[in-house]
Amino acid sequence: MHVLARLVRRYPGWIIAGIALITVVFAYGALKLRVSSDIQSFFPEDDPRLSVFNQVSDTFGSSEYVLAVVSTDDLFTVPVIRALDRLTRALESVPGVASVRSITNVENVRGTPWGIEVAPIMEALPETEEDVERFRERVLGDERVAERFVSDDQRHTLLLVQVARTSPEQRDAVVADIREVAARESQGLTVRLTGHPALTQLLNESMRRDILRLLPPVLVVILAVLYFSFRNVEGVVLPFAGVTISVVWTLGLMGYLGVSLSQLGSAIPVVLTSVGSAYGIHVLRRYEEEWRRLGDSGLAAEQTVSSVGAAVVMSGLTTVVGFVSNAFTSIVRIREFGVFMGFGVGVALLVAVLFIPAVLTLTRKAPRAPGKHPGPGTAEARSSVLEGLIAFVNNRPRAVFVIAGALVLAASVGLARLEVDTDYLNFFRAESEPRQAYSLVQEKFGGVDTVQIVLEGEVLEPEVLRAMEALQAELDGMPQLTGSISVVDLVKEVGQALHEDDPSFAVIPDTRAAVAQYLLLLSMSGDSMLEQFLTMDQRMAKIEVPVATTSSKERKEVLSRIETLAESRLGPFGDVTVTGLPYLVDGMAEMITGGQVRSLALSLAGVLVLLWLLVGSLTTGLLCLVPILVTILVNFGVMGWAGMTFDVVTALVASIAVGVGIDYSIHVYNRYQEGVRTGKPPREAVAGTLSTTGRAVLLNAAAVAAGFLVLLFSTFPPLGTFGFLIALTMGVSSAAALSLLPALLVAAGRPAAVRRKQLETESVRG
Amino acid sequence: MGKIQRAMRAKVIIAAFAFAAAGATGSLAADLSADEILDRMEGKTEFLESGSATIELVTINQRGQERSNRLKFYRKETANGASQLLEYLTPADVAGTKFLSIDGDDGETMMWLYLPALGRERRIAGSAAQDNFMGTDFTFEEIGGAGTFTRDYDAERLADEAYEDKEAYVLRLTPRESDSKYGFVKMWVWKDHFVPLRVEFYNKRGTLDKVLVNEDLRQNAKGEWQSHLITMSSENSGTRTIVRVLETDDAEVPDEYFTLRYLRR
Repeated sequence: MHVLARLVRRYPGWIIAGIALITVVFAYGALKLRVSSDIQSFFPEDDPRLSVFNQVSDTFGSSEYVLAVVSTDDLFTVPVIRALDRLTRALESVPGVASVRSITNVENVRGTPWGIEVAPIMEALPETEEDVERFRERVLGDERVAERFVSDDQRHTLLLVQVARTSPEQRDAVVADIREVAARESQGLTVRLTGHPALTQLLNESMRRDILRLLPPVLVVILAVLYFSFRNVEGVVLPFAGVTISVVWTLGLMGYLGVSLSQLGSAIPVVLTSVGSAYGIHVLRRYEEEWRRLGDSGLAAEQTVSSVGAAVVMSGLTTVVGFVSNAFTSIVRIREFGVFMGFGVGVALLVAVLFIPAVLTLTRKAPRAPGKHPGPGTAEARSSVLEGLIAFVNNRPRAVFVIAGALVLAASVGLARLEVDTDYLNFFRAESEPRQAYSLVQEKFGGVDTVQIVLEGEVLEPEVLRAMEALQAELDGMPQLTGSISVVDLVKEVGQALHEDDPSFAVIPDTRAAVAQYLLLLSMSGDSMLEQFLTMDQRMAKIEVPVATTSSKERKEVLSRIETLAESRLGPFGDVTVTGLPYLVDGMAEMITGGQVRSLALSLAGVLVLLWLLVGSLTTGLLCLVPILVTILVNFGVMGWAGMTFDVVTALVASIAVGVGIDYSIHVYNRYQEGVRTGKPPREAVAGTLSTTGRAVLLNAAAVAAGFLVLLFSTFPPLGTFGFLIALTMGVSSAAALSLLPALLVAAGRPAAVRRKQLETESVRG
Repeated sequence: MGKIQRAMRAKVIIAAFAFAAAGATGSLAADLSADEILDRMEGKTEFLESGSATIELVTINQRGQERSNRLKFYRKETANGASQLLEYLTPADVAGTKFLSIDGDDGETMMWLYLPALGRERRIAGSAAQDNFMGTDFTFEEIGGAGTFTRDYDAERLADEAYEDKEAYVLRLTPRESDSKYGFVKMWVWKDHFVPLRVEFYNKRGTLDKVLVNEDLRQNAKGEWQSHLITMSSENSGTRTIVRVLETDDAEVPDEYFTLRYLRR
């Protein structure tokens, strides 16, 4: 610390220039930063769940569909059908769209009295009411088409827009084009888009807007807090410059490393600004004190760095450890959040210790009249709130423990009610368009996301096809599943068509040759559907079934039932693979529960070890952790009681609570220890601590909480919840650090004091 | 026109390509106009008489999976147009599957499908919304138009180029009809034998849509030059269709081949 202190005094110009230069370099990197909220990006690249999902997409084509739900009073009217046709054609011509299927272009194989016909269901655009009536009959006559494309009340229809597999950025561009075309060509129809690519694109777009929208109010809050605590320009500018530098470095590093900003990463600037400003505040406050005392800017800087530096570095390092321990979770996006937050806090720390004193060395010239302006927080400025707190902690320590105990108890009950849900749909408000379209599709068409069951084996053998047929019947019998499709359905359709459309021939033929010939007929007709369900070498077949589940618990049960059924029916005939977006969503829930508990434990352990090293006492380290443990428990308890779900975003709260909360404990402990060392009795040490550091802690907690409450205005419900929870944990952890911790310290100190007294008495006697 | 019908027609023309030969060697006139080059070229694609061919048709999708069928193709010119028969030889599952198409005197083409497993033929009809068929990359226009370049396109001669070590005329063809799906077509024609070596199809936005490449150019028994390896690639979808001409025979095909009775045989 002393070396640093001397550096700051001797080479302030170099330090400022160096940091400015690095900031410019990182600012350039920040320009490369991209935004991506893809669910796939939450998984490590070698995750088996993800690689199976990608393999199946590679084999059968992208299962990424944008679903356009078109709603009107009655689908089957001349203008509506014509508008649908135009919309379908317009969407087909969007570059990057692999295919569009709608009732106006979907084909079927039909048997006629004289032969078979392969044709679109809509042979020509209807001109009259009779044409439309005929078209309606043909659509509803084809069960496969009617089930997938037309709602029972005939007021909604689906357009399935298949997006070619491409990079996430390009896919977003394609979806944006689709959105634009859909809006332009809707012609009075209500067109709503949903499906994973559409949801992701919208999420990315609103995320970009959210960052720009939320950062200014956060800054205003921070600036206001800075102004009210220092009441001068420096007090506002310097800590603010400090956090800005740390945000630029962090985003710049992400840009250079090619890490894109996810829905979690977008919280980094906000969190970093709130958390990082504290270090600058501590340094500046101490500097004011030293400067008034010494009257020389360089000396004051040196003194500041060597005295307060250690405390700031200690609290900063524990925060870094708290965040970086997330590096061990398997969810990539949380890992990134933790590591880059750790980096950012480290930078904020560095800037606070080097840059701010360096600037002050150069700028501060004439000393002000000493004592003219007592800085807040330096003197023992007692407010009525703190007076009350001091009296309470000192006079009724038991009450403090009882209240804490009651809170812990209530929170534990709430914890048991906590539910994990990682559905990406929760990133949207219930009344938002994609959410509504999603529910509409679930309600009217049997689900947006699909599960894929792939069988590799002799899939053209009739007995294998019959097993697939039986499996499909069982799947379709489950209430959450409807409208499964596979090559079986296509074969049966051809069979019926080849026999004058007699439904009794909609069966799997008896020989493999017949199956192959039916399929040849289909491939000749250019039916692109076939390739989505059967590989060209005819070795792998896929069953696709839309899943409509409403809760993560239900989803988990349905998925495991599908897996069991698929394995028992198809297992004897070859290798069975089950995958799909719902599996990824479920997998993420699994990673969160396991991974977060582990990384939370790790983070607590890391902080404890660091405390032990810094303080030199394991007991003291444990005592400092108690307020944090209570805070985390209360956080989960409130979530459980309020019915908030544990998801990728709210999972971060606990780790931030560790990182930030530990600072409060350390500041309180340090000041208390200082008091005890100078010979104050415990009660007085507590009073001294609370009236000085206590005030600073409350101020800081209020600032951080206010910064996070801004997130309530985020477009994503989870970020709003996140903001609320952080504000809550700030409140709880500061309150615990100011009441529970001193009470504990006093209680832990008492036996020792008593023992010492006894010893003294004994020695006097002896 | 139905997809399957188109598929048949296209096959006819693929086969016609296979038959296609460059009769007139020799006169290397220095200054041919674009239309004259097309005329000389079309002299060969008019070879749509009778005969048979064995081809291997390979369809490759954008994911690199392929399907390969060996086919025997028979064709006979008739007063109404042509009669054609297509028979699958491999794979074994589909061997014996046949398609018959006969141009009627009313201008309609009648088509029948015979599936051995079904043991009987069914008439096929349909109307297609799309231009491509059978999962191949050929459309009716780009191959069907081969015989009528001078009628359907305005041709313009660009600077000559060497294409794969062959001297080639380079033509830019602009469709006369505005309903063509192409903006323009660029074609490299082998100077020596007036065989198209490479054809690029550009869409209306001016970006490359498809590429046809004729390779393995050899003389047939009559001394005519023909391509034995025709590849059509779609730039957009990443799919490819390869036609390998294994054998051609211009011997007259008996009339009885083009009957329902023969289908069931």
